[in-house]
Amino acid sequence: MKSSGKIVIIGSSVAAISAIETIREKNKNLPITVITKDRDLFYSRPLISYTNFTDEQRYYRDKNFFRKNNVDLIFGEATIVKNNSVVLENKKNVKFSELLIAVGGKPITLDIKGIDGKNVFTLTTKDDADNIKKFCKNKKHAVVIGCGMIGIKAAEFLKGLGLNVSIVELMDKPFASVLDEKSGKIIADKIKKHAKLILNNSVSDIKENQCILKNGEKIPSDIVICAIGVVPNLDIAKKSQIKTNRGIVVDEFMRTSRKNVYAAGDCTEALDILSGKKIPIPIWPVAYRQGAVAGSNIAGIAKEYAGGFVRNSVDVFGLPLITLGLSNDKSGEEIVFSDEKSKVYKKAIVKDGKIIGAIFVGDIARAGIFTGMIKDGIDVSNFKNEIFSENFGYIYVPKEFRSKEVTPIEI
Amino acid sequence: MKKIYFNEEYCMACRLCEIACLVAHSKSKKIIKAYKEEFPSLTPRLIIEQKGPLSFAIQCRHCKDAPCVEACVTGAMKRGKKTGAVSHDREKCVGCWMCIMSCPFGVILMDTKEKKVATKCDLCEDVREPACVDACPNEALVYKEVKGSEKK
Repeated sequence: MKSSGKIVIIGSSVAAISAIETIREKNKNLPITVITKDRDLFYSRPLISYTNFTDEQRYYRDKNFFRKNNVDLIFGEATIVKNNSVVLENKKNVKFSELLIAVGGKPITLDIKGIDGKNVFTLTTKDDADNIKKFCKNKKHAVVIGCGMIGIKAAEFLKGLGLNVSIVELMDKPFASVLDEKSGKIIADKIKKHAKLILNNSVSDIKENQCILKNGEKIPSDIVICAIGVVPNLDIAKKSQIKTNRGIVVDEFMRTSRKNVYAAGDCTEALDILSGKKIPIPIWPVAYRQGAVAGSNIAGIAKEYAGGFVRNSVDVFGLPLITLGLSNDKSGEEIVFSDEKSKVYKKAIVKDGKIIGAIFVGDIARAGIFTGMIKDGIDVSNFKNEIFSENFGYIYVPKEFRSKEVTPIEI
Repeated sequence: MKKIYFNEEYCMACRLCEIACLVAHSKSKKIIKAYKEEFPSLTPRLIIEQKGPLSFAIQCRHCKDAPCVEACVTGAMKRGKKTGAVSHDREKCVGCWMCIMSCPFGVILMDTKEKKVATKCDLCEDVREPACVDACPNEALVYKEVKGSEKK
């Protein structure tokens, strides 16, 4: 596995950056080339929707990151892997000894009348955000299709640009796959204070100044953002006969089916510790970890990816929300804390003695302890009724499961 | 690098560490002024936990593969190359709380008095010994070298 030649990375977001940092920690001299479509390399994608930010504030690493880490940059689109080369759109070949595919996700598009109109956008890159900003000048009404993570951020973005926003969601609540009924209602009520929320409905026709919904209702819209979500970008993998399923299939070393080719981040499907299956988990911390694992293996130091699980933290117009794991599972025992007045709702789902999912609305303090307990599969049977008590903390984690980071060996 | 460790057998939950932490991160650095003028807008960067006869004070562990650094979408949470400690940049932080979601010790806190940002133990950066360790009357908190990390 020891690398001798030239490392090529396709993509320049978090999985790529984490791989570069890991490789450089272990080896200062291995030549690294990054091929990227992004013109502005340094921004962090989750920050594109913050309207009050300067470009500087959007940087994930500092401006000289690639130069400081001695990384060559090629701006262009990689189309296919042939033998030991990446072929670019302009037919140029870039040779590699190890390749990392970190091309991320692609926004899901819908088959709706008018979806290819000039007034329809997706929001996943800074170019998208810049184009939307330009288009929104002198516009009044916006429609966001989809009320998940991207939908909420898109709505906040459009509100920040001064537009009236309607969000149209197919399901009966926001974040439908991860929220239960009660938390869905609290979040929906919050959204309704800032935008029009239309649930159980969908857009069937996008016109220049209005959207026509499935039920015939017409809502004004000068711009539409399609925010259904993302799917793994499989373009280059498929063309290059690299095994794909829902995502690029990788083993525990982040190796694809093709020799010397690795993949990391939103484009992959890797182990989900809660289902035991390989699925795409397109979240930032997973991409970072996978990038680091791939980087370590590329640098010749074997490292395994232990798996992850879906989790997210989002601020919904000022109301914090964290969901962990199988937060909408109906088969486990539910432990609930709810205070309607203060809009606090917390729930954990316990199955076979272990927490498999949790929801935190309004009060997210110390939610990470639950993330740790899910990750380590800690048996909570003895204290499950105390997990939402005021005294609950790391002290409840049984001593044998406590991290080595807590107590040095000699004490 | 050196880290703060706790020994729960020695901790009596006297909360002196909490007071010391609060004062060390106040503007005045003086206990009465800090409490009179800045409290309750001051946030201690450690948490005292109690369960039955057991208690300890816990703060950022400056983990090796820090989950908060992995989860941070802004780059505000990062590892200092020289110190090895995990530092947090208030200016970069946007308060997305990915770090709070990720910290298995639950020791990253919210600071909402001005801009909403995360806050945590900074090992009292420029002093010889962190204030909480210095204040602990029973050596329940110790500040010592991490085994095997001398090179770093």
